[in-house]
Amino acid sequence: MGDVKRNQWVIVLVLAAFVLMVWSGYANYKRRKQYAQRQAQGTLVPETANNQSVQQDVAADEGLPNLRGKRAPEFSLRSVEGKKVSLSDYKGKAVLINFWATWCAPCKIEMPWLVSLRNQYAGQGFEILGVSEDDADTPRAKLVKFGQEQGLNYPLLVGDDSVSRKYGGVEFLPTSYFVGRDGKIVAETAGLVSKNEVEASIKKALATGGK
Amino acid sequence: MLVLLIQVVKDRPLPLPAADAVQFVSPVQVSVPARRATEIDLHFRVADGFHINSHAPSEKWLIPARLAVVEAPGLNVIGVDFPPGTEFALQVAPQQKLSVYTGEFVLHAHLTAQPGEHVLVGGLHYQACDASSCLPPHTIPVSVTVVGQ
Repeated sequence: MGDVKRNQWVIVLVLAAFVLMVWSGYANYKRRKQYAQRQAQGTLVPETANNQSVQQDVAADEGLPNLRGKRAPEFSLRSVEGKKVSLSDYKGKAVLINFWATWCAPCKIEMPWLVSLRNQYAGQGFEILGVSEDDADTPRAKLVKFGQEQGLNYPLLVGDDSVSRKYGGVEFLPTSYFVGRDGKIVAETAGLVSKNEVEASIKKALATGGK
Repeated sequence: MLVLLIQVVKDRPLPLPAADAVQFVSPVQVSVPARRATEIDLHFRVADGFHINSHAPSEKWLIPARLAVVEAPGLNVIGVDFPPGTEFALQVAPQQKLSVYTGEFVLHAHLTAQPGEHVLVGGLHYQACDASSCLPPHTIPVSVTVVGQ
């Protein structure tokens, strides 16, 4: 009797495991299909509220750790001018942590947007920290020159592996984390997204926590 | 066990690591006339959906494709010809043309070989992107057995 009951439980568990595996495989296939479609089209996701969530899902698939809702990992880095800058210096502000590199063409495309959005929202307590993912031996003068040529008006920091690791390794550029006034991450994106989406995430960060 | 399996499937990153964006396709071995200037074709393939900057990128900040070759006795690589890049632009910035390689591309290596078997060892340095994001620069190994006859 006891054996029969145990066998029934085993069958139920095996069936449950099978269903979960099928579901997991299907969900994974769906996400891959979305990504493949985006690649095949070679386009940015259109700027609709509906597609924004798709973009976030795709971003999650592109190797980003899901840090949304979690406290942004603290870091201290040197700016390209040699000044020590910590994330905690911006306590109470909404912060966009933007990982970029001089060799990253999509990063350059979004930089003018970031400059203009910083101008627009700095008065409300918004700042951008641009973390360079260039090689460690890249001369700081080169980064300074790059910032000047692009007309960047926000702090450019010399990144290091320890900070990248805290943010999931930052395998793709650009990668951005939007930190609310309470220090928690409200949005994250991997790859170039539309200016509207960047602005929406900034507004979200400004509206979250703090004052 | 089951939970672990599902987690592994779910968390597998979709995009390629930089090392897989470009592959050295062929040749593995090639025969050339000994002691005479000759050239061999080196075939590479860029993964679907990706591109790499050509040997002559459209702007100075971008990292060009480069081939470095290790000097070897009996084998002298005089130079390498890169094909011209094709134009590519991200849809959001159609006016910014990039010079890139996609799909298969071929480098022509000019060399002379002494009689016998030699190994051309080198590395292709490149920086790959897809339609919206970029991977860090990377170098893949290139190895060709060159038989001077």
